[in-house]
Amino acid sequence: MTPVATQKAFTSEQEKVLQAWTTEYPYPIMGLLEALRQVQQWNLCIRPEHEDFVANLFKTTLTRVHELVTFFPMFTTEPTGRKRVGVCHGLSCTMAGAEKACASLEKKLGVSEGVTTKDGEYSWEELECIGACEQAPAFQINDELQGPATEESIAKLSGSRRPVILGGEKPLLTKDFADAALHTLEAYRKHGGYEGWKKAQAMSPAELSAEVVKSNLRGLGGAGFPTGGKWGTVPPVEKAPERYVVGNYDESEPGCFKDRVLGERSPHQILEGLLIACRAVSSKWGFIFIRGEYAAQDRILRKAIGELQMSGLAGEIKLRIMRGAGAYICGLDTALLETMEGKKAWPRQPPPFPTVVGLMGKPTVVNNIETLSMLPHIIKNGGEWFAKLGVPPNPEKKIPGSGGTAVFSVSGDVEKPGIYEVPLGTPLRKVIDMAGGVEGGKKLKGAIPGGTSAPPVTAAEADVPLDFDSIRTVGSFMGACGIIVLDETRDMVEVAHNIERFLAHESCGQCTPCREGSEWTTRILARALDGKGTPADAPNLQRIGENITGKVICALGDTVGMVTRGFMKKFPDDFKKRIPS
Amino acid sequence: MSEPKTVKFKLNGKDIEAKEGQLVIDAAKDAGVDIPHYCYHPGLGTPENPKGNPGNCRLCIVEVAGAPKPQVSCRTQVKEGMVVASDSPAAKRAQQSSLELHLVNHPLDCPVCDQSGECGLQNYYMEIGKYESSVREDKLHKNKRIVAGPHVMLDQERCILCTRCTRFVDNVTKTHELGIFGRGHKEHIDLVPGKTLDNPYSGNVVDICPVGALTERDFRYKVRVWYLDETDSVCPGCSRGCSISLHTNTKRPWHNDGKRVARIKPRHNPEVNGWWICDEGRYGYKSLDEDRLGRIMRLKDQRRELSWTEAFEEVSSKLSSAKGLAVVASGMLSNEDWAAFKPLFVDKLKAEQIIFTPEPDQLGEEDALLRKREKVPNLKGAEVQGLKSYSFPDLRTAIEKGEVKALYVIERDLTKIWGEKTEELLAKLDLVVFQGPNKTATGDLAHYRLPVTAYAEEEGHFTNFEGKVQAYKRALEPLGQAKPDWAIFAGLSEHLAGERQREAVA
Repeated sequence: MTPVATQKAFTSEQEKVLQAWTTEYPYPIMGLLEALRQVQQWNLCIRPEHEDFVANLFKTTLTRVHELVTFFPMFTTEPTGRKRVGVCHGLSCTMAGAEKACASLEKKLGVSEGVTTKDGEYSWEELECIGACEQAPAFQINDELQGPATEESIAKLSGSRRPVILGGEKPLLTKDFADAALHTLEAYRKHGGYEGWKKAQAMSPAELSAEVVKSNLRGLGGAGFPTGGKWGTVPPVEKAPERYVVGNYDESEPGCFKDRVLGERSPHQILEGLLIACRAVSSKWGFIFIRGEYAAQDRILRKAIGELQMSGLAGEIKLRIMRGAGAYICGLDTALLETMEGKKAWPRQPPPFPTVVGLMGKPTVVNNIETLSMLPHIIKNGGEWFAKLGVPPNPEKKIPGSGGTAVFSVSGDVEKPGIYEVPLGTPLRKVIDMAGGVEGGKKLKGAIPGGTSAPPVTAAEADVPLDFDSIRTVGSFMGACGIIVLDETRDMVEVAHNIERFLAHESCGQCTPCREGSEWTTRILARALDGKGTPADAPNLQRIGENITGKVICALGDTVGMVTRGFMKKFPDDFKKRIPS
Repeated sequence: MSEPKTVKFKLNGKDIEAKEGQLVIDAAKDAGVDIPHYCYHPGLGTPENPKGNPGNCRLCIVEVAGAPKPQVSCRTQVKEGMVVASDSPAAKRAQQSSLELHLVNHPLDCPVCDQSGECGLQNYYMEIGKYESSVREDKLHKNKRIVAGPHVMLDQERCILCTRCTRFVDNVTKTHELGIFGRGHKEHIDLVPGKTLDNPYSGNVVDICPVGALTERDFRYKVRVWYLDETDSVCPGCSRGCSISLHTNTKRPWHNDGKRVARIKPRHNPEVNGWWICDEGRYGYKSLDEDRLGRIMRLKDQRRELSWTEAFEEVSSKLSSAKGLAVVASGMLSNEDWAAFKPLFVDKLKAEQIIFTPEPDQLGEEDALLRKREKVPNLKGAEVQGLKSYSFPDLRTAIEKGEVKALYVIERDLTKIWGEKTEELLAKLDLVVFQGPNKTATGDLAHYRLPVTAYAEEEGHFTNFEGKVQAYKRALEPLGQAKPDWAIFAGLSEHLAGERQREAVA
């Protein structure tokens, strides 16, 4: 028997708040992660007595709760400062001087990373990408984006965000972003919002799916899977009456911040798309899983859901938001579903695919929120119209085509970092030019086209059209459309090291090749950067990469083995300088 | 339930039959092909519950024709016409590379590791590894000495995170003491805060750990595993009769603190114990080496050591003239013992009372997994012989009334039943004979004390509570003069017969 605690872990008011999380979602256990976030916020840490209470409240094991607490970086077992300062050291932010910013912060606060100041007010930490690459080097306080970590903003311990630069051509999702009130229901409807949903309500689920199949819409969260095709794999309602749709708003890959902007500017566009997807697969529940660092976007979305529910537009469909706690892997559909079920984000191994066995064992469609945002436009204007905007399919070459536009996040060594919406098939160089070209008039050395998990392309390959099929001809993929521009001065070994370090930090640890291989690769690259490269390193890096990709459980693991190999192939001279042959 | 369909598939170029839906790794094993694996364990997952096989070690990778990438054979089900290769260059490379990645941060402290000699990392290195190491980085360090519970030590550095132990405490014992905490390469197996690995089956995690991460505190640093002999046996710890393997150290008697038995391991038996045994059974072997009887003793009326012939003569003569004989027997007796017991005590000596019910001395905890309440293996053996037991209160009354004047005690300590009253009760008797493998207070109070072999020193059969008859084999030489119970019964029977003959001649 454990001794009876002399003090209660929580006040009765707090207990009520935690209790409420057991009824927020269709299953009590789904509220576990949010309840833990609440505990962390109250106590600045999660102690064993808190874990005990939460485990009992959610009728789960202490093991599971402690696994969550130690898996997600936002949870700590020792108190953080009341203000938790985080500096991003993703690729764009590192290139913009994140290390210097950290040094200044350490000096300013007088404590090293992860240590709380004596007054309990501040602690600081380096963070993996916080989805603000255009603000590089970005920093946040308590999950609120502050903007660039300049000397001035660090001195004040508060910053101001640069306005997001918007650009592109033939925009769909971003065309009304000039309206600062677009996030309100009233303004959104003024611009034709929820007309697509009204039209959809007059259509049958089968008709909706057919329209989306015609549109050639492909998933914009990373995998590029045809959206209509994914919906088509959901079993019929008679076989599985309960089913779910989840909007994946866990954007976390270095180089990608378009979802952040889409959500803060036009939350109703996402919700309208979510409603359409729910109707298309006959789901009564629409969820949005948003990354933990997007506190402001979470608030905006919750407000929008409130407005929508007051308006009665959503009908019988129940909309819920759930927030992550700092794990990139949650962006992978099956890891996301595990997290929603109150488990650590260990990817599942399909089959069965989520559309058959998904959230709580029920058929579940997981679509990225940009993908969802496209749906109102497709339904309003027709699938054929949307398909024509992008690259048509080529059945002879078995090319499925890429319909519509995509919103590119552009950052790195570029004059005007921001988001640029262009029709799919627009050349990479053109998008870089739209963003003002390489910063400071320097020459382009290469670019990462789809977020850091996508292998790089060289300057010579920069005319490649940005669509799901063309990009493969240069050995890369669209990913989540995050372009990082690399100028002639960049050392690609440093770049590869930054990305592998990110992947090693984010590896969930479930399968051996990714867990061990990401860490090993990172350390070899670090040693090479330290001037201690050996002739065995290059063939070793190549071999380790080959041994990981295709042998792991999930797509994150696959990229662990691809990144360094990609950089070695495209920029061999940089590696020769660091690694003697 | 209909039998699953038999399908044909190709494995490494050979046609193989398997049950439809069977896991490739199981079908291959049935066909004699052992695909290397760590996380897969047949006791933790089944085809019906493939989640039991997490597929996280990625060692059992095979090539399946038509699949876009290599598959893990512990999660891939056999289908008609499937073509699988576990020995193709690509499959072999994938297996070897998985092994290499498992070893990147493994401490390689084999010289001081108890698992050495039966380690999955060592064995697979010899089978599928044999590469030159390319690791130039320092090893990552974690906690090496965690006392996980009364029986188990945890070394996080040696751990390969296969999750077998966490699945065991989650799915088999459902006691949830262990978890995988942290993330990525900082991930480690550890105790859940505030918990101890003290469930009644905790020792099993040591067996299923494929490396030296979980070792037995009891066995630590005692003897190298390659010095041990293994003998099939049956656990005498309760009426379940789990299949076990006795691991004995006789080649290097100076190891293992001079003890012959080094440890007990479960032996897979789907009909009795599956893959597991309880800790009581596992660590109940100490009595095989400790407090053993080896000499045949007359303890009263001129104490002296006897030969078996002398003992048989004296004891049989006293038994035949005893008035009111009672026998306290025990479910420790084998089927062979019970078979010799009946002709002696029932047919020849016509004992007034025979008692073999388990009392507090032989009763304990029971649960739904394996443990039974009766802590002896073979009460069923007495039942099979048609024997009926009196009760201890009956016996006590009879002794007090003077109806029983001779008592034959087999392997039991009456002080554990009657406490301080024992000596007084035994003093009322004309004859007390004790036979057993170990020293007991009752043995010391007897007129004659006869040494018996322990189950590990003889062979025989136990019939478990469900009526399953199981053989156990002889693992060790008897100590001193010890004989099996049945041989003592037989010896006494012979002498009784001889005496009667002599009487007839006279």
